[in-house]
Amino acid sequence: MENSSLTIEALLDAQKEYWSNITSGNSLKSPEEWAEFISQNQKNMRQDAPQQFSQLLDILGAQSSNFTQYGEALLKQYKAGNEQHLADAVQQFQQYMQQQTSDALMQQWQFPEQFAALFKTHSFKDDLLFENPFISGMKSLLETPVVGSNREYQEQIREAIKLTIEYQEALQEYIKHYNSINQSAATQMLSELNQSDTKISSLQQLHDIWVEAYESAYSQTVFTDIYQRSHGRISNALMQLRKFMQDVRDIHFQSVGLATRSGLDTALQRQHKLRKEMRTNRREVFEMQQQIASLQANASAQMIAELKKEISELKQEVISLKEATKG
Amino acid sequence: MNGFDLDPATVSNELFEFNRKLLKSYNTLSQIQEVDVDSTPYQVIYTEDKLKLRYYQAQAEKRCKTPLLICYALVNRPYMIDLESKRSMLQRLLELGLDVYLIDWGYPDAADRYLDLDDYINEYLNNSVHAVCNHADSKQTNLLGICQGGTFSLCYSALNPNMIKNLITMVTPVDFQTEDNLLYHLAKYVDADLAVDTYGNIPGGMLNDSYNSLMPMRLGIQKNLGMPNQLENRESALSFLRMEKWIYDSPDQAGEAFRQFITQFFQQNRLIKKEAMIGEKQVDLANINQPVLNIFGSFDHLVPPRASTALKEHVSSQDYQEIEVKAGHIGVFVSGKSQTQVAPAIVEWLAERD
Repeated sequence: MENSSLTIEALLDAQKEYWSNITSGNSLKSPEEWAEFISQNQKNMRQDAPQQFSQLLDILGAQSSNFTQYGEALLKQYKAGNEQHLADAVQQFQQYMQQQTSDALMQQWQFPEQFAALFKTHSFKDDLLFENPFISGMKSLLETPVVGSNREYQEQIREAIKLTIEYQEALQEYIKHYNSINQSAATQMLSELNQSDTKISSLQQLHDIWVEAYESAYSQTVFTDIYQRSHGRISNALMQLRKFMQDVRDIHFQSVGLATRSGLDTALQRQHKLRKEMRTNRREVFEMQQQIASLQANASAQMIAELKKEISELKQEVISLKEATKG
Repeated sequence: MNGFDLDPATVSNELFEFNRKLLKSYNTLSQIQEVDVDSTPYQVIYTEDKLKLRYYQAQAEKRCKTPLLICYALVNRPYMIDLESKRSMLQRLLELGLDVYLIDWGYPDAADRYLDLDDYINEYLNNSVHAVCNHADSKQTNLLGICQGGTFSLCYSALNPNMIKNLITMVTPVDFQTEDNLLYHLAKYVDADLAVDTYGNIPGGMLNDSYNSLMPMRLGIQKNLGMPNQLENRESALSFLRMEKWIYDSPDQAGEAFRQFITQFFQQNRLIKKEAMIGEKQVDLANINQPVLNIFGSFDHLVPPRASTALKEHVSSQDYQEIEVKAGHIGVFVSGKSQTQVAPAIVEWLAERD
């Protein structure tokens, strides 16, 4: 894909004029071709570029869109021009960065795929996720005694509920740390903006200050024992949930005669043990062969030495006999 | 807000420049079909399961009779030392007259779920050492271990001191529980048994997430925002993409080996307590009495300098040296300093002890 440089230049010029005019109060509309052009570029790239770039293009597209949208919003704040609006602009910047942090966090700690479907009506950032009727209902189910012919099935349900609640609580606790990190980063950033001798005059500098503030706040938190426990708790809760689902799947697979993960693991473990035994045996055989060769070599050497000695003695005897005969 | 003096013209110009570079990035990417890495020619001289032992022939008059075996970590791929010609520690070593052998561990799959440290160190590494000695017709080899591969090399050398003439460790964790070792702190309360029981082999992507979480903002948003600068022209784009390729080319970790490494080394710090067990053999670093060169990065956030320099307290070598490189974990291998200082220092150090 090769863009016509003339088209690009023309579109860029039009877009530049639009950005320049935002603060001057001229109500230029955003050139419609621009958004379409960028979107078309991204679309074409996704089709044409090698598969290995697809993730990179997603990141690039999302990041550039966020950056441009925030930049435009900031320029619009400038139109109003007073101190309050600038403070609002900084607050918006923090929200914009916090949003990106939250998105990254949620992506890392999202529900195992099958469970996620249960929660598709609620965002991970939604308070309803933690206080929603589904969770409340599950909690009340835990109080129901496990009896009757479906006892095993009910026990599975109870276990699922228990693990889900643990995951929810662990996630809630973990998110609190990140809220606190974001808050602390925001405070540090404001303090820097209020006290710094260096004037912040570009978006890039604003980003750099945020990154410094965030990494500093993050570092202060992650080295605490309470954060590390919380990190361990969410990691373990997510894994327990995932393992539980695998175990349940195995039960169902087994019931219809399909191969299970645990069965495969057992086979692999036995195979591995046999391989180790075989290696040990092979090594022992090799060592024994070497010992035998050595022993054989020693025995032969001893026999040759004895023969040599005997020959030497015989020679000596012959010489003595000859001398005796001469005499 | 005293320090806040955003100039609308500057912001407007920034948006323009950012988008101009973004468009150029798309054009550049559309013209790159392949990101070539790992391009120095080699010969495979030994294979075992997924392991391949590579041989790279010296490209100048030989400086050492004793061959050099490089033992890379199980995480990520060994071509980090051969990303591209101008950032290739491997090529510098060859140009300076070393014959180099490199272990490529391969990509473990489900069948490798039960490979443990005994397999990796007492079998694969041991067999590689013997294969190198046979190929080079030498009784011993020099051993250079990188990161986790350095820890493996320490264990191997302690268990087989007679096989290793000189030992080099690069960005190698020895004391896993220094206060500034964030990876240890994050692993502290994670149930390694549960992780292996859940995943079998540990997905490489999970490890990448852990590394990124050490500096989330720098390695995330800041890096992403800088991408249009990197991708604007073909040459810088290729350099950037080679590194990205390496970062995300992360093999899964064989479950049992991962379990043992996390529990014995990170969570229990057994290496420096003389309690680490590789199979049925106990590792005592004091058995290491050959010359040791320990290279670490001043700004290494994955293996902090103190985690590496702890080595000198535990080996009994009379000839122990350190080289501090003013770089991070990866910069030790790919930075300009690595090309002009680290590789020549390694060759000189080995030549003096050959």
